Amino acid sequence: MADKSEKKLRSKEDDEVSGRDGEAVSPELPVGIITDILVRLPVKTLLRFKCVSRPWRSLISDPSFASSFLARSLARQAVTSLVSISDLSQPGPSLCQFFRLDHQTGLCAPVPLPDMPSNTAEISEGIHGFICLDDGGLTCVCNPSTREVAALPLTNPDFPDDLQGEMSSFATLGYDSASKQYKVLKTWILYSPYGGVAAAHKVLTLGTNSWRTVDDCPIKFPWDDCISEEGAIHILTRDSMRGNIVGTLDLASEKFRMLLLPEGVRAVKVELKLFRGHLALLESRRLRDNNTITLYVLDDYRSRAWKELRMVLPRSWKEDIGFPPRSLRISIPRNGSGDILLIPTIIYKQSVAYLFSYNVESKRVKKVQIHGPPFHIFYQYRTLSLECRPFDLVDNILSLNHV
Amino acid sequence: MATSRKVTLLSSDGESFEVEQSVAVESITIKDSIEEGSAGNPIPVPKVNSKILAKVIEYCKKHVESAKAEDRVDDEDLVAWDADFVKVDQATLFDLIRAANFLNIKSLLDLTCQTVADMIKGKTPEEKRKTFTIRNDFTPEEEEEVRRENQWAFE
Repeated sequence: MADKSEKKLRSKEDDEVSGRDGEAVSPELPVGIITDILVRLPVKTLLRFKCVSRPWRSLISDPSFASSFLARSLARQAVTSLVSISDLSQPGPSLCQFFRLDHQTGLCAPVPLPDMPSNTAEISEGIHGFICLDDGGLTCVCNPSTREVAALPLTNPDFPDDLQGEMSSFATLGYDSASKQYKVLKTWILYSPYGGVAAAHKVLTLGTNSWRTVDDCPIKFPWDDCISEEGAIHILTRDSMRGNIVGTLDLASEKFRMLLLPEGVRAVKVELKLFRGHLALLESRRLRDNNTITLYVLDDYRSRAWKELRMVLPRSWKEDIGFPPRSLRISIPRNGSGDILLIPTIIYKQSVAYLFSYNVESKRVKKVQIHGPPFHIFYQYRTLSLECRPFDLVDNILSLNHV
Repeated sequence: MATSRKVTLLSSDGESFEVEQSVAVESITIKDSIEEGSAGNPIPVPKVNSKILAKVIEYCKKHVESAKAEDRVDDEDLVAWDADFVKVDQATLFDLIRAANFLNIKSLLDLTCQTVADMIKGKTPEEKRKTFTIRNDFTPEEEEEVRRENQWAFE
């Protein structure tokens, strides 16, 4: 393994031209400058650069390079999203494809992912651009930027043998900033025929082989939503008495905590989002009638102080379209500035689909037609409708083999 | 406004350049040595020859002047000016990068690095090797393996 010495980005005395292997990365420029140039390139270009020479391959594959690259990606305003499009109108396994959706042009470009698990996988947004797929048995982690899919070791929940019933599961990828490791949380929910519900949780550190059982989680109910932020995974669920509650898994200690929600959102439908690095609850039931989206942002986890942020779209956003989509998926920009993306949850065959991007600063709504060659792939199955779901697109060159 | 002080910079090939201190301190390296009191007069700038030093000074002058201007229009003009500034041959571009690095002028380093990034984006591996004078030390099998690992990127 290469020595993990720190690279100085620039220094007066740094005439060092060597890469890790001791051979010249380039006799022309110091390695720090080469790095500064390379982090500006797209992932695809960098993957091609790996075959330039051994020191270049080392440099580009290095986790510290991936770290610098990721920092730049995260700082950029998102102008594209990763979108999963599924055909759910068929019984049985459904085809699910991924696309890069450009907010400005509406162009949907396919992102073919090899070795995808069976089509009924539950997809969850991870962190740093990674996504997680779980089909009940197999769990996979995927980096859409490098188009890598890695299957995780199989595991089963620790339910007592006498507990029987229907089971469902989901998995989420999180990042433990303390140990700088990626961890996957897998949750199983068992529905007993007598009406009870049981839950089991396990965690795996990416790159290792064994799953660890997580201590008693206060959440024993079916999940509604989950999201990853640096250091924690949040799961949204409900119970009949307390309404909406959030269970947070701290990734360093691998222990769950409960989070109480503000009064106003305990009984309404909310989604978990990240806003400027903080956990937020998105409440959008007043979007169609009042053009309002409300975000409750958790500014401070310790004090449990939530801040309400209301965004009112201009009335004209609905006027242009003939038939307002029955439901919309809302994508909040992670940096807090840039566009809020509204894309229809269902796209109907033989009707034009639009995405709406609302710019938080200019308060202007732009309507863009969604188009792209691959839609016809679905129609061969006599599809009537497709389900769309946006994910945060973060360019990340970290290979799943080097995690 | 106080009268600007002037400093003299001495290139590696012995040429002197008199510049306003406000322009010279665009270089953090020079700024630090002035503040520490360790700068001689003239301030020697090793590793940077007169041709490149002249260009660097031109860059710093332009940016210091633009910062003083109130007019917003200057922003777009500055971007256009920068684009023209880097329309030089590759050898000069690399010299500018090295100078910006040594003198620690962040904006110039950003500009020149971005220029190189844009330049190499579309190149084939062989062209990239030429640009950076790299020897391909892969065996044909190794190179094939690297291509196979990320096949889609080569299509």
